[in-house]
Amino acid sequence: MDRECFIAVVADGAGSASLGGEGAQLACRSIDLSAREYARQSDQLPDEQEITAWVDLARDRLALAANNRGVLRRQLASTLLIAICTPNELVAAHVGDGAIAYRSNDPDDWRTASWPAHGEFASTTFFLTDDPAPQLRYSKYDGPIGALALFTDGIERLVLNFATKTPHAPFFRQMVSAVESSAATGRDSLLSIGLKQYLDSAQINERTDDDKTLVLAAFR
Amino acid sequence: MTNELEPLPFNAAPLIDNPEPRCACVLLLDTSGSMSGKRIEELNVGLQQLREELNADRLAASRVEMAVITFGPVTVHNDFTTVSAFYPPTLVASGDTPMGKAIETGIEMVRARKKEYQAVGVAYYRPWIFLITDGAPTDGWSNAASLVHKGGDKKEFLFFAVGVEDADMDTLGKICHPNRVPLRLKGIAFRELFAWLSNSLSSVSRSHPDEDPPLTDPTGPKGWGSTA
Repeated sequence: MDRECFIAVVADGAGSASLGGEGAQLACRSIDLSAREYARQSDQLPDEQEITAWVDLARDRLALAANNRGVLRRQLASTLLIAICTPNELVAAHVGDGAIAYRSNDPDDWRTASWPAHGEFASTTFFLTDDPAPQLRYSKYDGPIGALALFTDGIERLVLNFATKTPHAPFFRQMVSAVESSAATGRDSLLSIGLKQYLDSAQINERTDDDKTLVLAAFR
Repeated sequence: MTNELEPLPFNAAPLIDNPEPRCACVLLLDTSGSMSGKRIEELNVGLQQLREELNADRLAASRVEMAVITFGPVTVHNDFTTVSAFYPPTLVASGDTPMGKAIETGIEMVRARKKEYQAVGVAYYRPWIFLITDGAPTDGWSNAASLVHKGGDKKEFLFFAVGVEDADMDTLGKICHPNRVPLRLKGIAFRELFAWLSNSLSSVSRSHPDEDPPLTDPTGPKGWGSTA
C-alpha cells in the first residue's frame, strides 16, 4: 500500500468451545496473513467482499484444524474483530461481541466503529464458526483517524456507555495518551507490559471475571 | 522508553458503570383452596428462603428481578422488582384455579418487561416463567398452551411447570413445551424446589454470553422432582 497502514486482529475463544483459545489464535493468524498479503498488493482498503474471502479462508483452516483434532469446527469457535486503517480511512469487520472504537485528531471525539452484537439475550453471541455463515458486520469510515481501540467483551461493560451507545471517552482518552507519549514506533513492549498489569489489576477484576483483551494504537 | 520506576500510566483510567444485565423471573403460584394446610405453609417458607438466598448472592442480587402472580383469582402480588426490594406475600389458600389466565398474564408481564429493557438499553437474559400448581385449570387454557409453545419455539422465555401431589400432570404436559416437560414435586419439597430455583437463577446471572447456564437436574436422586 502507498500509505501507512495499521492492521489489528482480535479474537476471543468461546467459553463453551473445548478448543476456543486455539481457534482464536488460528483465526488471528489466518486473518493477519490475508490482510498483510492484501496490503502488499493493493492501494485501497479492503471492501466487504475481500474481507469475506479472508473470513472464509479462516473458516476453512479452522475446519481443517478441527478435523485433525477429531472435533467439530464449533469447538474452535471465537469472536473476531478486524480493524485496518490509514491516517484517513478505517475499515472495521466484526463477528460477535467486544467492540472497535476510534477517534479523529480531536482527543475527546471517540466514536464506535463496531458495537458488540449479542443477539437478543445477554447470554447469546455470534461466532466465526457459525453455520451456514458467520454474522459479519462491515463498516468504513472516512476522515482523519488519530487513534484506535479494539477490545473483547470482558471489558465492554466498563468502557462503553450502553445507554448512549458510545465509547466512554474519558477512559480512552487517558489510555491513548499513554500510547501517544511513547517514544516507540510500532509495538511498545514495556507499555504493553504495563497494559497487561492494568488489565490484571484489582480495579478491573472486581468488575469482571472474564478474559480481557485490549489493543490501543495511535497515529503520529 | 518508559521508566519502570514511574507509576503505571494506565492506573485509574475512569471506567463507566452500566446497568447490570437483568434476569426476570415471574412465579405463577396456585393458591386455590386445595393448597390450604401444609402445602401453602411450605410454599410460604420456600418463598422466604428464595428471597434470602438470592439476596446472599452478590451477582444474583444485582441482576435478578422477581414478580409474583397468584391464582385464583389471578392477582399480581409483586411486579418485577430487584431482589433487595422483593418481599413475597404470605399466601393464603382459597379460590379456584384460573391457570390459563395466570399463564397469559405472566407472559404479558414478561413481554412488557423486555420492552422496558429495550427502551432503556439494558441487556437481559432469557426470562423465566415458573408455574406451581396442585390441580387442574378451571378456565380455558388452550390459548395459554399455544402461547407457551410458540414462546418456546421462538426461545422467547423459559417456561417451567411443577405439579404438586394431586396436580393434573396430563394437562400440564399439554400446556408445556415438549422441550421442557412438567415435573412432579416430591411430596411438598418446596424448600428444595426454591433452593434449586435460587441456584439456577444465580447460574443464569453469571452465565457467559455463549453458554447455556448449567442447571442441576431436578430429577436426580437428591432432586426435588420427578417426571410425571
